[in-house]
Amino acid sequence: MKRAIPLLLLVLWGLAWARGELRLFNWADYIPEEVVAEFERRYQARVIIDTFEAPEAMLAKLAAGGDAEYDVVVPPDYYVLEMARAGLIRKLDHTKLKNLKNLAPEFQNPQYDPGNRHSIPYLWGTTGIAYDREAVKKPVDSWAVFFDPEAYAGPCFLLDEMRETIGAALKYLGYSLNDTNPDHLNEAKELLIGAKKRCLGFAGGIEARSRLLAGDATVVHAYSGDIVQIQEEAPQVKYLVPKEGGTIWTDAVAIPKRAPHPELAYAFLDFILEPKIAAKIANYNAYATPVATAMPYLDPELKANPAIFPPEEVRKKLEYIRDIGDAIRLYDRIWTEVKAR
Amino acid sequence: MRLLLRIHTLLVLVFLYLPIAVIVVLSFNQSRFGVQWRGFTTAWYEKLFHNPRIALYAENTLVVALVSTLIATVLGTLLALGLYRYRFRGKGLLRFLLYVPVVIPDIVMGVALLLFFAWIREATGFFRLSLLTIILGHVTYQLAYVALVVRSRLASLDPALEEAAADLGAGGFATFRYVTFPLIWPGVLAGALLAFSLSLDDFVITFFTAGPGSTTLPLYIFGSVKRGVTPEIHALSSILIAASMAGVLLGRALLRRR
Repeated sequence: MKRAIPLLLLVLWGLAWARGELRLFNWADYIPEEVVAEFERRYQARVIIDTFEAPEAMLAKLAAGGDAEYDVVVPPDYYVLEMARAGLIRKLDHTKLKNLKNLAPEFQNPQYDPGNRHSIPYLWGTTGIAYDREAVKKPVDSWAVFFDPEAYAGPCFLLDEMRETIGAALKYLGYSLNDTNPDHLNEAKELLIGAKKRCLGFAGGIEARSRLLAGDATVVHAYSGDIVQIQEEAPQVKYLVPKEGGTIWTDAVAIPKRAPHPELAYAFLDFILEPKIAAKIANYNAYATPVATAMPYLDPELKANPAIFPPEEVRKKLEYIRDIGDAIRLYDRIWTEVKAR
Repeated sequence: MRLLLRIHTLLVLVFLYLPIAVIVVLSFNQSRFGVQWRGFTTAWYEKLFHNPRIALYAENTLVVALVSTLIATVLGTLLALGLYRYRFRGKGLLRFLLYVPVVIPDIVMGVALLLFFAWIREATGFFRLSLLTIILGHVTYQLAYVALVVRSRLASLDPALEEAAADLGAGGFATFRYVTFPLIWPGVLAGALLAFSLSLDDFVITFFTAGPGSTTLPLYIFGSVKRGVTPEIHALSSILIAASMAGVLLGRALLRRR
């Protein structure tokens, strides 16, 4: 009997291998359990999910050998090229992704990863302004609520994210949010110092949202998804992309260079590009899906919400945060000065 | 004077326990995002128990806590016994070293372990970050706690008892088996329970020594902070709090027993 135990273990181990395993490295609570369970059923595989709390942590883990441990990772758009250059993620074999054609045209060739060479888009959203419709003193439609004392509409928070927040000031000034001209950046700095004095300070997306809900703040710089999630409970909270434009961001899905189960990883990528699956993911997170064929399966309120799917004229003014190379030091310096004042 | 003291005590208790109470209350709140009370529900606990992903994290947490506690208890008790029974060169130094893992900042320990494991991996190819490395990381500090608790129990032991056992012909092991251990076991168990609750909610050292597939509950809770802490996470935290409190209370009760 005793001898049977190692044998049994070996058999179990063998079965585990045969069943396959997909190791997913993702944000916490970013994929509905229903979708994971369906993948497990269909591919007779076990999905193991590890979570990260910041993209930097994800990158660090991957660089420290995690690229041989995970099958699928979910980096933000601005990390895709960097990770590809560092050899952490592989070039995708498009013949294994028959559902790639389901993507909306603007996501077939996104700025952050031309031709979807290294990643597919997962969900997308924007950065703009959230406000309490009943508490604002002035109409909100522009970044001016933060940067122009005349347009001050109530206690406010700016995002504690360097690129987003300097980007907002640049947008207000009419520049690109990837501008690297030192004069333009100085103008942005002055605006931010002024805004910091008028506002309650800087906060993370979730903290700002809580303060808005609690009534401490009436206008906050916010991510679309965070706000849309709460609108059912707090209908007085509105979200919009300012008329000057804002940031568009996409979370991408990629396969690490040395992924242990690449075939299953491709299957997973193709799986989440299926219309019904993509719709389930979007409905769960209340973010916009890049999968055009998923639109019929979306919750009607989600589809009709301009905060999630902004109208065409707004979408034209959205910009991705791009890698700006060494100019990032200039941003760092300005950010430090703003924070210190 | 008495009144002032009472007020002071009350304030300290509020300061210590109010944040925990808030978490527990929010875990029963119907509202998913806000802090406003929208009615009582146990739905978050139900959701939690039906989530296989979280069950896996719980399993990881328990495996780490149980295995590391077992190792730390055996080694820590032996260490305490050695310090109690024998005289040897460097005993003072060893006693001092025992306190180091207790007072050293977790983050220093975590980074040191991470570098240490990376270095061994370079040299031998072993020690990939996994549950095993987390367990080893936890043992490093649990060991000291167990040894300290057992030592305090040993200090109250009457040396005459062991001498009497020796007089009656018991060897070293028999003395330990029939005399010393039965006398100190409440201390051993208390140390083990303390070690267990420390492991259960350790974040910092786990964060640095965790590898793929070894997410524990504290790591998961931390990961959820940036995307918004849901009542589900509050429910999870409440369970963790209850589990570690139970461990500590049980340990204390055992230590008090004569």
